[in-house]
Amino acid sequence: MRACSFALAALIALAGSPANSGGLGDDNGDGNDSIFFGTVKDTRGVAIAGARVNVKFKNMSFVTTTDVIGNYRLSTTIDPDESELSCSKEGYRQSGTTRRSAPGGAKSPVEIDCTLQPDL
Amino acid sequence: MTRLTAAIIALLTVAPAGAEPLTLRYGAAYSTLRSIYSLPIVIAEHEGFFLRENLDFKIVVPIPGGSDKMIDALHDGTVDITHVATPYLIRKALAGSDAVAVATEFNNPIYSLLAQPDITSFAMLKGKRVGFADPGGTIAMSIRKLLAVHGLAEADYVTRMLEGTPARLNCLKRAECDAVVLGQPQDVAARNEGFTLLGLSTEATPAYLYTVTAARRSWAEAHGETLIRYLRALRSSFQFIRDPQHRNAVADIIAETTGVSKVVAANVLALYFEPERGVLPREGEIDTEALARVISMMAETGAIKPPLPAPEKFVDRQYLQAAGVK
Repeated sequence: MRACSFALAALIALAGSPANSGGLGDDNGDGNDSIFFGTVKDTRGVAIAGARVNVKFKNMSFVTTTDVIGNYRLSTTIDPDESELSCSKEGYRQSGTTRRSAPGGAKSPVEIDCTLQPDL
Repeated sequence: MTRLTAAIIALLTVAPAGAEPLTLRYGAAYSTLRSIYSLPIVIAEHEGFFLRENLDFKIVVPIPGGSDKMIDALHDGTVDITHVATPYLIRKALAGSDAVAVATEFNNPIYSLLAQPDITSFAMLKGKRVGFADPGGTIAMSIRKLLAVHGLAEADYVTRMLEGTPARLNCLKRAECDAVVLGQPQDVAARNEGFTLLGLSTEATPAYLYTVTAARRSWAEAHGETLIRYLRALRSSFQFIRDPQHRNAVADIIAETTGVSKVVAANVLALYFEPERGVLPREGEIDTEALARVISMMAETGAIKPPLPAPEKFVDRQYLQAAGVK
C-alpha cells in the first residue's frame, strides 16, 4: 500500500494555486500559505526569547524561534485547521496554548500564544 | 570499507519486521518544498520507501531558512540530516562544521535564463534587471558564466536576489524583472507562455554536483543504521524515477508537486532522460569530480581561496556503500 504522506499532500495543496503565483522568497513563503504568529510567555506572562516553536501536521513541521520580545511568525504550507503548535525551551515545559483564529477561512493568519512553565 | 563488508552491514541493517521505527528528521528549505528538487524525497514518501525501511521520516522546515541555513540546522539540533546545495556545505565545512555529503540528490542542474517576450537576445539585457539566486550559490555562478560567454559583464546588468524558482518566475510575470533564472518545471511552463529562452546554464558550465543530503559525521557515526535505511530508501526512489515504466507516474507527481500541467511535467522528464543528461544520480552515488568542479567555481568567484581543498574532505561514502550503492 502506498504511503501518501503529508509532505505530498501539502505540496498537492499548494499546487492548487500554481507554484508560480506566489513566492516572495524562501522565508516569506507563498501568498497562499498559512501564517502563524504569536508570543511565547512563561506562566507569569513574561515573554521568552529564544523559545522554539513548532507547527506540525503529520510528518511535516515548520520550526522557528522567538525573537527578543518572545514573538514568532511562521509562514507554512500547513492548513491551520489541521495543525498542532508546540513550544519548548531548555528549563521549561509547555503548559498550554491559546489560539485566536481570525475569521476568513483556513488561510487567514492564525494567532497562537504558547505558555511555558519553568521546570522545578 | 570493502564491498563485502558494506554488503554484510547492509544485510544486518535490514529493518526488522515489527520493530520500533527509527525517527529521522530531514531538513528542507522552504523554497525546495514545491520545486523539482524535492522529487527524490517526494517519490520515496509517495511510494512508501521510507516506511519499507521502517523509518519514521519527518520533514522539518527551519524558519527563517534558506540554502545557507541548512547546515546550521544540523548543528542546532533542528534536523538530523538535510538537503543542501554543495557550496553551502563546503563553506560551512571550511568554517569548521563536521557536516559531509552522504548522498547526491541532484547532479548537473539545468537552469534556464528566461526574459520578457520583447527581449530576444543577450545584448538586449544590457542595463536590465535580472532575477538571480543567492550570489554565493552555483545557480548564480553558472548564469553569470553564461552571460559572460555572451558578452555581458556583471556591470552590464542589475541583479535582484530572489531565492527559489517560484519567486523568480513571479518577478518575471509581474514585469519586475526583465529576465530571471528558472529551474524545472517552471522554465518549461514559462517558455510555453511566451517568455523568451535566452540560454541554458549548461552551455557555460560543465556538469557539477548540485544538491546532496548532508549529515554531521558525529551524528552519522552514532546513527549509522538510521542513515543506511534512509539511503536505501533514497536509492529505491532514484531507481523508481529512472524506470521508464514509471515515467507516467513520476510525471503525475511532478505535476501535483509543482503545479504545472502533466504535459510540462513529461517535458521535464524528457529533458532529463532523453537523452540521459545525468541530472539525477542512478542510486544517490557521489561524483567527487563533479564536486571538484563546484570547488573550482567557488574559487573562480572568490568564494574560497587557494590552496583548494580536495573534494573528498566534504564526502563520506561509507554509508552509501553499506546501503548497497555502487
